[in-house]
Amino acid sequence: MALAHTRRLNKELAEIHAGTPVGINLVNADTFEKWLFTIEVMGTSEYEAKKFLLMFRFDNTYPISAPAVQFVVDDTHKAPVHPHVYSNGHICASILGREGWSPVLTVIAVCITIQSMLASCKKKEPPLDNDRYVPRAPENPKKVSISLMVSPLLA
Amino acid sequence: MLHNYVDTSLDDNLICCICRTLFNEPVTTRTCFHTFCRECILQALSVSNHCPIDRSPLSVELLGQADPIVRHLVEELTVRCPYLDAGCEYTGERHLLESHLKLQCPYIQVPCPCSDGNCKRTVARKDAVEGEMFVHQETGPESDNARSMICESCEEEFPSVPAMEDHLVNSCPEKIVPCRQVDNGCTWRGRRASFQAHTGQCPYESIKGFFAIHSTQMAKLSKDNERLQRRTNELEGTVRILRQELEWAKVALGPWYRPVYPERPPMSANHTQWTDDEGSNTGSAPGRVGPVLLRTVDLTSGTSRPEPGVENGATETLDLFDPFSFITQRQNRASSIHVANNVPTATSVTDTDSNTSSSANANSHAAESARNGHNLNGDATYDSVPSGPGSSNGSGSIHHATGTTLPPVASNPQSTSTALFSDHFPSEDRVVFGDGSPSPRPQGWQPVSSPPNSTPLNPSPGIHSPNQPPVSSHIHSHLASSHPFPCNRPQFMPSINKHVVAPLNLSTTIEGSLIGLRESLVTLSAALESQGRRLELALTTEGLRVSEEVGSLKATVQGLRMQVYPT
Repeated sequence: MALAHTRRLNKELAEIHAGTPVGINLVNADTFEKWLFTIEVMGTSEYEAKKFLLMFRFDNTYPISAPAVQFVVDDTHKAPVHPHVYSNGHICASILGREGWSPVLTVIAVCITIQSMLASCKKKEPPLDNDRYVPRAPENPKKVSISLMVSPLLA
Repeated sequence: MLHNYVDTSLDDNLICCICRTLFNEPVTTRTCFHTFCRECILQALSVSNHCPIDRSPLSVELLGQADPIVRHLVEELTVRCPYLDAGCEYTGERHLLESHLKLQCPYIQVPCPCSDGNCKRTVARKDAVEGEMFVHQETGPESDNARSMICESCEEEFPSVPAMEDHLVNSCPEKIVPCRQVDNGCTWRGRRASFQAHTGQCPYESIKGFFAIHSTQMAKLSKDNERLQRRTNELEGTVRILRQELEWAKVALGPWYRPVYPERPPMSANHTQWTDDEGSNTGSAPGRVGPVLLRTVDLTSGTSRPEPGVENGATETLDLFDPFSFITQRQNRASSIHVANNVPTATSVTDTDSNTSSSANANSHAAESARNGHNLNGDATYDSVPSGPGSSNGSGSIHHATGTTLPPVASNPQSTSTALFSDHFPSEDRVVFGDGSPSPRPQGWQPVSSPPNSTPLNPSPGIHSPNQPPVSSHIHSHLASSHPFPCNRPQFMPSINKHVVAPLNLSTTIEGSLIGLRESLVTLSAALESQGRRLELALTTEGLRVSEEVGSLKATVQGLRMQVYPT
């Protein structure tokens, strides 16, 4: 079913247009390959009043396979400083990995997870192996090899 | 499957969480009772083995069909026909859509029903009118006419396309046609007008009678060939099955199975020395082919000289699974047997005709003994038999399993001691197992106890002397009565609990055979012992149980007595 992912993404898009949770806003969903969202952490937190740009990339086995999710790092946007977010925007989250992903999860669900991950951060510091990881990391966060990975601590 | 549902408000409970559409062939997990579309969950399980909803362990086996209620709920939803755009306005329950498309929908494409069998076009069912002159809806009318109504070869015009086509195929004189005998090889092609002329000259045409005969013959031959091939396949199948069964039988028999091999080629090559000495071709055992469990052998078939007292075609009625029968036989006949030539004259151990193996010799010895056996009237003289070193009880001559052949010995028994001995080492033929020839037998069949130095030589295939003729039937009676060993039948084997007693390997030295025998005895005694222990144990427990019962009964009786006599 090569079109399965488009059907499902269509459905999700319809739901998104109907309304997204607070702090999550759709920026761009013109293609079925790449979607962009802005994430804001509500309430008082280390990231108050900061907006981050989140990019989703889908392949044709979605939702069986997880999307590639990362923060966009460019001139206008930076990745949040968080123990599970590398400075190149890659996110260390169990639900984004092969073992943690479930086809029941949706794009919105991932956004909410990341939002809460940021909200629950105690200290604004980068990951311990940030400097080791970032220069060697591949472009697509899903293609990270085992040797570079730190064990994901998030649920 | 993307259906077009009439009612756009979908019941959330009926939506698959993976594809976000209404369930299609819903299946439910048996462990956590979550429902998905069959395709969706199968795809998800191919990647991970837990439930997508609650991550509990899940596998394909744990999926079952969803509750019929759920299925009905989904199947009875109203959908529109997928050919809505083409004009079909059908709406109906989802499970009826398939048959609508197959049988009714006027807008679905069906294969073209025109008379041309090769037409691969499709038309909408509403346009597919069954009729003789179904004409395709051609795209451009003008080009059709211009194209099809004029014969391309002779430029003649026709009123309709089919008429033109008919003319072209059957009657146009300008059309290039092949010779009538094109199938038989004629390569002529030319205008139909010159067809007649060519036919008159065509060489293939003139021998068309031959072609006909030839082809009928070929057909017959192919039919026969097919039949024979089928038969061969059948037979091959049978052979395979038989082989398989043979294997199973071999396995079941375990070490008791020793195949017998086909008769040696003419003895002359191998036993020249013997023939020289005796002037006869002796030692050739009667031929027998194949592994033999039950032997009916013509006693004299192999020998060149008929032996006195030898039964012809005596049937072996020995109990097959009676490895020790020979022993009893021997013991019984000890007195009457004059084993003439167990002992080679020690002197001339002519060396290695490496062909003759010790086993061969043993066999020939066996042959001798067999003949001896038959001669119960105590005829002590036997023609010299090439006595093998096999069970050489020879006076002092040592037989190694090195295949030394010994010259045939004079007919008179050499010594009583050897004769006695030889009784205990029966000729191979008594041993139901086979000639003990080593090479064909897989290693695993060697008796467990065969000592290392006794590996028989590998005789050349032609040498294996099949076992000797069967004993006469009256021997059999001895067997039945005087069996010292109760557990020598394969039926008993299971009861011995894997105490396998291997058959005696006589293709070795005396020492080897003795050792083998001893090992067998040891195994047997161990088995017996363990059996005894088990029985003892059983007996003890039974006794204990009984005494307990008695005790309780006594107590009961006591109680009753107290009631009856309250004092």
